[in-house]
Amino acid sequence: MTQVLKIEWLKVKAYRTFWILIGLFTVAGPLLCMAYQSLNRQVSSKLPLFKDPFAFPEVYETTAWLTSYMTPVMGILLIILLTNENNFRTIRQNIIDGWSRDQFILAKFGVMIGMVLYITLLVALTAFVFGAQSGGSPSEGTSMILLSALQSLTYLSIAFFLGTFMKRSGIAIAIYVFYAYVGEFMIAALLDFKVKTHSGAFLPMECTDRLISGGSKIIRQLASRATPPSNTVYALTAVAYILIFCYFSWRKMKKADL
Amino acid sequence: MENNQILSLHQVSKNYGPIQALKEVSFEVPAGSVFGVLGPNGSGKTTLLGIIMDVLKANSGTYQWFGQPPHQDQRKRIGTLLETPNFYHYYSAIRNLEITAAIKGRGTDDIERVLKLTELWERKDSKFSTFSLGMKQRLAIANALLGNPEVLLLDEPTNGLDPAGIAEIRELIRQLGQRGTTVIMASHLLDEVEKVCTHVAILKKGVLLTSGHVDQVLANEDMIEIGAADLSRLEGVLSSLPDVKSIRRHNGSFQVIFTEGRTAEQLNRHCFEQGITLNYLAVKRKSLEARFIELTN
Repeated sequence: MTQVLKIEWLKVKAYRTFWILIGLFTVAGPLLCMAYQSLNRQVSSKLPLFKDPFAFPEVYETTAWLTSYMTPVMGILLIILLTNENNFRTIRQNIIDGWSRDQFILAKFGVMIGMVLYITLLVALTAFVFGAQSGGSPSEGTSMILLSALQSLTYLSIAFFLGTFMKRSGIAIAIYVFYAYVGEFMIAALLDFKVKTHSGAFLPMECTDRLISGGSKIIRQLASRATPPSNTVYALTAVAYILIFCYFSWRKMKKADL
Repeated sequence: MENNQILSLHQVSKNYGPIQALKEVSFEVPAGSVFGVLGPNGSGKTTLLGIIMDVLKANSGTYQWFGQPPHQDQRKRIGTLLETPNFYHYYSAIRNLEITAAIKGRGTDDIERVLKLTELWERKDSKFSTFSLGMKQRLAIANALLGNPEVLLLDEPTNGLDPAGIAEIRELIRQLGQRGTTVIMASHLLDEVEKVCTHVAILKKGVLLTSGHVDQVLANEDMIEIGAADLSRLEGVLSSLPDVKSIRRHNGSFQVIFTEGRTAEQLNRHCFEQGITLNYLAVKRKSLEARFIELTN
């Protein structure tokens, strides 16, 4: 495993696109938190009804929620890395040169897990920095960091699926971005209000969005017409989607002509 | 070598939907041979090579490398150029070869040698995307040669090369063959194959027409060129022979092919007995091109 990851590192360590997107994500997550904090302070000064979302333990959920808006940037990077291998036909060359298909798949899953770890680390660090300024007990509510990792894995497994099945990176990225920012919100709302209350929660991204609802919690509660599913149901739905997306991606790479 | 046969295929078939790309193809590649896989466009050459490198999946049949069932570690012992040069476009020649070396589990110490051998050392830091077609092909050849593999598998290796480059690659393949490297080469450039190959397999529409040593494939029908002062009389004598397959007039002489293995000596004696004195007699091996066209048409 270490060896295949070292080779994946060789593939990206001098790839400009990789560093630009990593840099964008790294900067944008904390900046978004800073922007939200400024907005929140202004609102709270006039309407002091709510708890400080940047104090421990709420800060874990707030940073996880805000960072999730930037997670599609990492999804885009994953799509680019996967479609590059198809477009340059280097997936074929890697196998020809002596990797098994399983090693290739393992390497790409390794990249995805590495990204999840990086996102989670950034969420944790951001939470610590913002939480330290606002007070509270840092040891409480840390399970939210694990849920954040689950959310990132769900987002990235969708990107993995698209990157594996779509040959053109442009179309795959367009579908991913549209779905992440507009498509799923639209489908979830239609399912919730036109089909069955809370049925929208069983969509791939929505299940973890409702698990880590952060600042959107009040709106969600106001819009709710019945008791929502439990956090366990949300988490299990996310796990099921991760397994489904990863299984179909694995199957494609394992069986297809390259 | 663990086995006398480097590669053996047994009844390999492959379909692309309703199109049968390969039909029960079986042959063996002896160790140390320079083996040409020949066939017109669409005959299944690249499909065949793709299957034995595990980038395409056969519908049925099996193959063995080095006398063993297929395994990824065997491919680390094979230098391969399959169809097109496949590299990371955003990386230089040297970075691309570092990735190949890492996958093959070798050090990077051979990179300089192969880049110099393929005359790319001066451009080692240039991005692959800036390379010309010929340079890309050279880099693919350098990639295949990395680490002195026991077997080279080359699919149309002279694609995109200029005449000097073609001659260099031909000479390189010949030298590698002489040093004991087994070379498996798919090509439609029959002249190239004839110059370097010891063995051939000929495919047409996915069916193996023949395979074996070049001499075996070509030798069963030697051609005798024959000339005399009185050509019309000579033609009459030749036509009366029962085992003549074909007679063709060519530059003031006849090219004759016999169904049985008639020697030049026998033919000379027969003509003399019929009162014809020959002024020209030569035995010519049929060119691979002639044999190829005959088999594939």
